[in-house]
Amino acid sequence: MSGPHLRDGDPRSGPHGEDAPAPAATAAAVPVQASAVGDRPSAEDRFAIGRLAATVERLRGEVRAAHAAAEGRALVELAKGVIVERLGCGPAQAARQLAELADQAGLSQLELAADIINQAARDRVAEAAGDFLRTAAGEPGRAAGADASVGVRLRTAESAALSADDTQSVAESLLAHALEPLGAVAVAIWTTGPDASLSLRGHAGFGADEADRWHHVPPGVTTAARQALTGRRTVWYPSLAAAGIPSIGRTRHPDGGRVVVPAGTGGRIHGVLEICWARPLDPQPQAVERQLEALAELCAHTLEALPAQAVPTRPLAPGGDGPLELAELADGLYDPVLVLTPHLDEEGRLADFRIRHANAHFQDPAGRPRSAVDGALLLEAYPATAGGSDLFEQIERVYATGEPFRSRRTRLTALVDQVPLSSFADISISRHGDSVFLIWRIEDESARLASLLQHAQRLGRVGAFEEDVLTGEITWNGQLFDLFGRQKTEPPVSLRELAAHVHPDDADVIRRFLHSVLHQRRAGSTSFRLLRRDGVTRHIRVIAEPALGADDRLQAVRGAYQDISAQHWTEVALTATRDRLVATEEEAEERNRLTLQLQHAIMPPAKPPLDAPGLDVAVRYRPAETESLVGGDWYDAVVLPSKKVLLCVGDVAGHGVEAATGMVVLRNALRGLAVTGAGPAQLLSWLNSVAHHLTAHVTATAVCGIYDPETRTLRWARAGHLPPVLVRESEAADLPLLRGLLLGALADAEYEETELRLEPGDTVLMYTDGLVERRDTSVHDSVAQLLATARLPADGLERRLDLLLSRSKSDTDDDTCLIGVQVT
Amino acid sequence: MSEQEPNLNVDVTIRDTGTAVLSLGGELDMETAQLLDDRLAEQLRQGRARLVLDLSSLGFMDSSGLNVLIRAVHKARALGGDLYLAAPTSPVRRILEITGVTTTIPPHDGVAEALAAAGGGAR
Repeated sequence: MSGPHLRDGDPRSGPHGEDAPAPAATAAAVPVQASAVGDRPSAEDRFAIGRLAATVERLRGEVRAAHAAAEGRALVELAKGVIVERLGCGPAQAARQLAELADQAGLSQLELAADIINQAARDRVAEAAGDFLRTAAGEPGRAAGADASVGVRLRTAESAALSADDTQSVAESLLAHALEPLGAVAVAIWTTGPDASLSLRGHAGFGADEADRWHHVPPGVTTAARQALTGRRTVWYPSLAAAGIPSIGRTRHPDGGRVVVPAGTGGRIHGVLEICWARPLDPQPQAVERQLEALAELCAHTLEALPAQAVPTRPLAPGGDGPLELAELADGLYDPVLVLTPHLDEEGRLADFRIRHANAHFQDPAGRPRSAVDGALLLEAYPATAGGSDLFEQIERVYATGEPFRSRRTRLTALVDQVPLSSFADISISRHGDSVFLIWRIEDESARLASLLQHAQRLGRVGAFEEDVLTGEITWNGQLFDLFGRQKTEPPVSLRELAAHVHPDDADVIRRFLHSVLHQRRAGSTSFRLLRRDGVTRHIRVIAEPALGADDRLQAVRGAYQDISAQHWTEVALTATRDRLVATEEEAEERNRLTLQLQHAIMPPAKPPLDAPGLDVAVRYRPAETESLVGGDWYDAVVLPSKKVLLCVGDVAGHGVEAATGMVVLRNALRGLAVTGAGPAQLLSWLNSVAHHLTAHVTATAVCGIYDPETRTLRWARAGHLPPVLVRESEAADLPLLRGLLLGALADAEYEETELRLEPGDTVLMYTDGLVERRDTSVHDSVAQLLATARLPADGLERRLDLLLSRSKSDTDDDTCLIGVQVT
Repeated sequence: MSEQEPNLNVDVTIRDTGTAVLSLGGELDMETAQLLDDRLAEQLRQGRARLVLDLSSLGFMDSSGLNVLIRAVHKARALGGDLYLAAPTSPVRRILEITGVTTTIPPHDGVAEALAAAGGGAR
């Protein structure tokens, strides 16, 4: 069972939570006692609060158990217990002390008992009493009678409430001892059900018939009590009729005032205390409000302590293993589910939620593994839930009120390496027992993929189109309208109209391109200068492929426009690809030269300037000797906004312009996606989607690493690619063959990721198989040879790469990319 | 046309109405990938979607060859069948491992095992 807690457990505990000093009157009680006990040293005054509080609690339990006949006697016994604890004397002596002290202080024993308990407990009831006292009189000693009566009243109510074995008795006791003195005529205690319904658990002053009529208030019915529940705050109605809100006893006291107070502990509202006056209620002093809140808290502890079967709010949580059962339930669901339990701070206030379980289908919006989230505090795992989105607040509300919350398309923001990553999800939050069930359904898989591709397309500034040749119907994605500088309400530009939108010098290029696609039915690509109506000129590449029907007739043209204006290399690539169509009609030699030019334009042979502290980066690109074999190898090394370094080598299957084009798409997409801050495994998974959906029939292999200069750690993953090589002092070894399918083979692929902590002087090499592939030797032996070369001493990173390239034994005349990083 | 390509031999054995075994010999690379692609397409056209590739005599495979296998898996699965790899030599097995293909198309030790996995063909 859970006894009363002598702590300030209200989530909105307000001004009196942290620095409430002992009220003046109760503080005064200490010297009175101390001076009266001449034979005890003053050191005894420095009692251990904790021990005392525990004793008080134990004594209260005994009081409850004994069902003390007289409430006053229970108080006196409680006070005697405090004296026994403090003075280390026996009960008989304590009784004598109490009598003596009361006599000296001019109080009744009961009044003094209430004071002593107040002083010992220092809880809400004590504060309310002290508060009242401070406002009632400037000098504590003067108004002793009045103060004492408040203290006694509250303590008596408490004692009675605690010894009552049902909520009904609590209600009666509250009315008799604490509320009638305030002029109230009736009281109701409501509990909240799991469905946010309200049940009348105890009442006094309303009459049995009225209580019967109001024994249950279904969810969604707005009553006075519900206002306290949903608003999570005390609500005052000077007149119920004037407020126009229904509630119990309204017929008998239509104009009477009402107060509804949420009864909560540790961030959870267990019920509502509703107090009824017969006449309109004038504004009450704050002290009265405090008293009512103290009584509501008392109710909350009582409701919380009710046996489980009497409180239908915990169908799934009989005892402590509720979260376990919920975890099993969660594992049976196909949506990602988090089971949360409240995490209270030292004051007993709700501070956060602990992620007790992330189910099997849990998917972190930021792509982190489940283990990174399971067991963490919610705000630590998702700090952004408290900020931009009000998700945390919603969880808090659901936990407090039990009212479930559902919302479509809520933006979830996760911080990954300080980079916010947003995704949309349908959210469902509900309370079960002491746990909160948080379900998020990241938009369904195809929608997610579509939005992902859109993301990739936006980052790569790619806009997709499809044009039905027969019906003339054109579909543009949203990005394409932006690219063309057109409103989404305007009609798209058809391929046949395209020439009218381009620079006059490029009109011929467009015509030839369209001829090739529409008449020769060849997939093609060309580049041109788009003249937008807003006067902006953009360099655009268009890629298009004809789609033939069953009768081999041209049905549609699909493709994409890509804005390639932004970077310098694209300017050069433009030259290469623009000439491509011309080249196909000319000699193959020329075409190959252009492919090589494209390759060079994208990956300059010179080392890219890289501002990565503590890291040297060197790269080599060696094209195949046979120019027609120049292909889709790429490397990339770039410092991300998070100051981490993206390192990558990749290899698009095949050769020639198609492979090179696929390479451009993947390299750009990876760069763009890496800015999101996601880890290498997630990046490869996205890149796989891009390879599978964005480019036709392309597979590629890649190894991707994210190096963090601060921690000198390299996180990496691979997609069908040879793992990197680590050179440490005179030793060289290839890193493990992590699980990871080549890109583009399946619509969805998952990648294994691992972390490597580097030491100063360490070198990591990433390379494409042009460096090792041999027909007469197994890859295993070729890699062994590479490792042998890597072990040779080298005068610096650049030299090492030269050495590796020159000793490469490849005989397949493939192009080769090699990237080396050395920790300085 | 590509039939006279000397570096790759493809022997087709039809096991039943839905199953064929294609035995590959030589090297599967950029030059020869199209040949295998054509032969696989032929089988699929004739309604045989359970395709067993005997790789015991294939000494080399590059990414072009791999692409043919991946495309064939998709096509075969779309027709309710599948592609089964049997007895890859160690260089080919290594390529399958590095590219992660073994996780989606686990190779079988021999043709008999592959046919058993294919179901209909073994009986």
